Amino acid sequence: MNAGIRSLAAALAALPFAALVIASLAFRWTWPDLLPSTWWWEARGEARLPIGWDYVASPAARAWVGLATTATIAGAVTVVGLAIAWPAARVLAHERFRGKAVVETLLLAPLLVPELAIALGLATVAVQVGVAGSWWGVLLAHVVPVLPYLVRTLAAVEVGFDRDLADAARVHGASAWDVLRYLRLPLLAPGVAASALFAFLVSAHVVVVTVLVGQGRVETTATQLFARLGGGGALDPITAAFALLMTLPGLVALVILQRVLRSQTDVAAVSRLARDPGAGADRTRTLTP
Amino acid sequence: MPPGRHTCFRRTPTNGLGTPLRWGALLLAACASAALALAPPPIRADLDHDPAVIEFRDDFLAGDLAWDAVLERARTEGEVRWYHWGGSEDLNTWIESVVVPELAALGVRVQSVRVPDTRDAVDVILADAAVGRGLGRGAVDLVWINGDNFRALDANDLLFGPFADLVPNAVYFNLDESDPAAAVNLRDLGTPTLLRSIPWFAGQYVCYVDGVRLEPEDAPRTFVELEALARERPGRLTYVRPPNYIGTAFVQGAIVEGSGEGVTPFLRDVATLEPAEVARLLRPAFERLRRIEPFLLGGGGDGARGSPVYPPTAPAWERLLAGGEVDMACEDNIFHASLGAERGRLPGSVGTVIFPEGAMRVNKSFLAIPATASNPAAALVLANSLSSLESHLSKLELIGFPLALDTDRLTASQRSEVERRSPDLRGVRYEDLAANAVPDMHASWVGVIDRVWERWIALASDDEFVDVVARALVER
Repeated sequence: MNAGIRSLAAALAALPFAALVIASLAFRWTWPDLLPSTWWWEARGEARLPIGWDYVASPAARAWVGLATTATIAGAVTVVGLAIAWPAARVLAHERFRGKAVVETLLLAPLLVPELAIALGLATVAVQVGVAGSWWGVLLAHVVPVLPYLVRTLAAVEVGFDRDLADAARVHGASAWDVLRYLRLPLLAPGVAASALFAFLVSAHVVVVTVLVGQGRVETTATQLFARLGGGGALDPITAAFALLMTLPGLVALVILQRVLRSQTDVAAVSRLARDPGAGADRTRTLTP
Repeated sequence: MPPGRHTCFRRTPTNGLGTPLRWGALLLAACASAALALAPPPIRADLDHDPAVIEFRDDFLAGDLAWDAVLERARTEGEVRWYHWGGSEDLNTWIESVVVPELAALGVRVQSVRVPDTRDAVDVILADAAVGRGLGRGAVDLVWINGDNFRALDANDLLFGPFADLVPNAVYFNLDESDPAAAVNLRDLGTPTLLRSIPWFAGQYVCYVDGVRLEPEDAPRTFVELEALARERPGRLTYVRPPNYIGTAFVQGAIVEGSGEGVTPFLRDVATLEPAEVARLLRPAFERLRRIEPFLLGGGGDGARGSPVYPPTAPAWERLLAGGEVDMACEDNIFHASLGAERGRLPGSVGTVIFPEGAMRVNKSFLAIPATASNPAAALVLANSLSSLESHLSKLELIGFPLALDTDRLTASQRSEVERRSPDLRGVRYEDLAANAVPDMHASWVGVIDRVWERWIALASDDEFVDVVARALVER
């Protein structure tokens, strides 16, 4: 029974991609034609300048540089963001203290203010600190819009962690490291991975902050796509191609995370480990890639 | 966590974090989040300049430096950061294949910085100035700019200075303040450039038709003919919705024609006119636009209100024409029909038409050096190189960017080379386009026209036209 539904879902998910792929390969595609009347490969021979994918693949388009920049920055932002947000989320999830509501609101503040409003302030700070126009500056600036998502989602993940399990493990002699290694990480991994993916995607989609803090010199796929859309928003072949490229880093990150998670989501095994940390020795081998 | 946990475990540091650490964790995240609270400080009056660069600027602007000395200094600076809108694949390709090698031969590395919007380049300059970075300290050396963005730099006193007549290729431009014909080189949508920017792109409003559906000879040449055609063939015309600039330009054409006084009354700041006078100038055009509305695409025909389709942008309008839904569309480049056909966006049967006769607005965009430039000599060398005849010709030939220099400054043989290397104009001649060109209105009119259109056309206001205009003047 599932096969039909699954293929329907797959078709629905693939449909917008199919439209983008066709648009990126079109030369002449006008209403009401269902498919392009002339394709890119039929026209490229006569073109004086590179068209469609020829342009996207050319060094002048800087598409590959943009992709590499996007992936590097988004990856680094995810790591830095997790390092900052996870401890905070943990405290928020498990502790009660005065002023907690205020702290929570403050942590969410970047979500409430539009990106445009924070971009110029961040750019000014970046110039003052001397990181404007560099990857470092953009990386640090991206942490700001990424944090609220991370704190919020990680807090939800942490709430789901029953600390009695940790207490029980400690009572039975597990060290703090054992608890982290064999209990917390395996149990929280799926949730943390989902948060990390969120952070990665947010960073890969930030435009105004990237342009202003990077002083235009740090080009990501998102800023490149936005430059195209500034021309009027037509889905011409090159814009379609950039839109497709834009989905690449996120898709790759998703696939990698799923592969990592598949080997970690065996909760029963994890619980076994919690009861008998010594059994972790052989498990460790299968966990490491 | 349910509250019923055993107290003996509550204080057990099972999570490995002590209290100070806990607060530290929150504080770190809160600080990062609070970075946004730092509003941009106002531009500092005392920009921190590099004295050596100031000396160079003063010597150059005083005319005390030979061009060779500028070239020499540009080589020392070694690079130039040119900020420009980065969404045109043609422009990007041309810069990488023509401009970069040309400047490399002069010992200057061109960094073409592609911004999604020119406003971003202005924001980068403002952010530099906000923390006091002046000449010799900023990120932007040269910027392709016009309109509001130029006005923002002008208003904040962030322009390098009057350089346009001091570069060798200034000979190709009429920069004589006393000559009315030079206004197009010396006014940027009404803002005096005071030679602080040099023309680089020449836009001219031009319309095009698909010859299969509407012969160029049958295309309207005036708004009177446009109205007749719309009544004759209902649902086959439309225009872009203001405030998109292509839409505003269409309405401006109707206004210039409708007022019967040409473009002259509109070259002044609108604030200097009485509301009644503004209404008198605008009324004929807006009444016509209201009359033709039922006959536009989706308009429903005679007597009906319908819901006409106003495309949001010029590319959307182009798609309506390419899809055969409308018979005429307009753009801001005289070679648009040619380029569109070459790129497959338009059918091969597309032709350019002269519309509206005597009211095809021309405006130029410019290259400007900000007062924060780190490499002003290299910026001057690049601006000069981009202003050469050969540079304009290669840009014209390869990517169809119209000449921004003045062709009456060229010799007969140079002019024939321009014609030879121009893309096909598809049915019109240079002379016809030039004969029907008018300068753009003073920028102050744009906001008024857009607001009147919104209320009088889009919202079909029942108010008196004079009141609609008066309100638009106040809101502007």
